[in-house]
Amino acid sequence: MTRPPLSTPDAARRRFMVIQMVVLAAFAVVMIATATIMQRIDSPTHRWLYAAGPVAILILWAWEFFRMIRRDDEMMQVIHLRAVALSAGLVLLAASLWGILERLLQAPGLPNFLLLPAFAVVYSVAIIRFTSRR
Amino acid sequence: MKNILRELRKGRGWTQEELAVRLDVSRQTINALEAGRYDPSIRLAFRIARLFERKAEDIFDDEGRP
Repeated sequence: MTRPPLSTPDAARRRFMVIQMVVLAAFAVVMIATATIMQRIDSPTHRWLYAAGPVAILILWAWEFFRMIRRDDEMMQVIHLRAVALSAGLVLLAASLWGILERLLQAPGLPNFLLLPAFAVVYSVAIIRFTSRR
Repeated sequence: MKNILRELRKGRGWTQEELAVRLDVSRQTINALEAGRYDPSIRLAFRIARLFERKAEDIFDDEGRP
């Protein structure tokens, strides 16, 4: 039995989930590779050029993320915004709590470059949970 | 808000996915509408009414709500 084609919002969301997995995996690989290469580069210009790699990947992720929300339908946009608010709030709270520990107890520094990937992971869990009830 | 969307859809022999494609919304939205968990915007309510050739108030019933 052939399945009917997906509606535009369903297709856009499925496309984004695939892109998100690829982009976050690419980010992890490029981040590790860049950090390794950086140890052998002295030229400030070259260091900036290499650092632009992981930055560009996260900008691409943000672009695709907002494009997907814009293409979704009215009910799903509301759900997306709830998931964004929840994820941003939780990541911000966790980062602030860690910051207090850093300040008062000299806890190890939180790697800030992980904030957006952490947001993406919490957001994915939230959106699956919100939509599974629908 | 109560509605007869499920009955209308089944009357046409469509799945939720097929109706979602015709209205250009997600399948989750169709499911939530049919279960009365989501009230559509006026624009979506009119699109649904046009698709089923009914008046919006024949499909959606907000009786009992302020």
